[in-house]
Amino acid sequence: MLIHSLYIYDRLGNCLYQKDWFRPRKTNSDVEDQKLMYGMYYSLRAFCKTISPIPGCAGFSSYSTKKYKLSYFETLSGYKFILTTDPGAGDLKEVFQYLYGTIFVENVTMSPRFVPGGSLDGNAPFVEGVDKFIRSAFSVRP
Amino acid sequence: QRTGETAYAKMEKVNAELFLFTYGALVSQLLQDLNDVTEVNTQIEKMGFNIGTRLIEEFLAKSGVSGCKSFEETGETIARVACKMFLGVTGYTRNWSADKQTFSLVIDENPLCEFVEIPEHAHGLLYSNIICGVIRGALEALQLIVQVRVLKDVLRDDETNEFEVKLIQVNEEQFFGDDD
Repeated sequence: MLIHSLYIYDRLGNCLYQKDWFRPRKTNSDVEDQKLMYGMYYSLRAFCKTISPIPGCAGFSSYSTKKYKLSYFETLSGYKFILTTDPGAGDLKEVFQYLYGTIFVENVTMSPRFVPGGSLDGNAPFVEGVDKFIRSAFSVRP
Repeated sequence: QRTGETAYAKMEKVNAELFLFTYGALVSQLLQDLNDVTEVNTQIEKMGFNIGTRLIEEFLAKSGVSGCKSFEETGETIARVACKMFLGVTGYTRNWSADKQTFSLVIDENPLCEFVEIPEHAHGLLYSNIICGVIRGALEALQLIVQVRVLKDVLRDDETNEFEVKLIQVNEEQFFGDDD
């Protein structure tokens, strides 16, 4: 599986962390890119809820195109994790569980230095933990 | 119940005495500094709130519970899973109001209160108020706005520890993006 990018948002839609592993085309502005991703997720989820025949539908967990797959995971407390990969990727539930349950909780929410809503770029144990884990679970080159 | 046991097994343990004395020292220091029992109660509740907003993440990550469908289920989960996970004891709920929005959480043996006596001059101190804060903080992260207060406290010569949890409202998710 080839990993493209990871986005992490909090309950209020602040982008806490974003990293690209494989991304040939750069955007002009990271902030703009993060906003677009959140807007896309938000609208798509609202749309899924509206058209779902099952009442109380929670949204979507992934979608694929010919070129890439976007997988989505949300915790009950509202943290949102988005991973984009190659379209052949399977169910990433366990990847998300590990990212959240182990790397995120232990290095972010249990860290006294974490300010809710603040960027995680300065949190070295977290950044390194994510990178190490992603590189072990995915390939970063096509 | 079983979920609570499994989650408890996964938790890192700290020495209970060390924890109790640290908390005890903290409360007595607050009493000295603030010199006002009501203010101390407020402060430890606030501390609990901040703990709760973080603790909920560890709870969700390690307990493996999925979303509760009703507030009743939430109450049971707090009593059976969360109490076991973080306090090492199992609590239970009672006195559910008819609309299922208010209940009492009972913790018969609150480990927090061991070795503690409330001195005369600190009458009215809610030593376990931190737990109220933790519950409020944790539930707020789940969009449940609650009010929690101490109903009974063994330190005030009641026969058990009882907290009243009252659901005020359930927040809807809002979109906090830019308008553009």
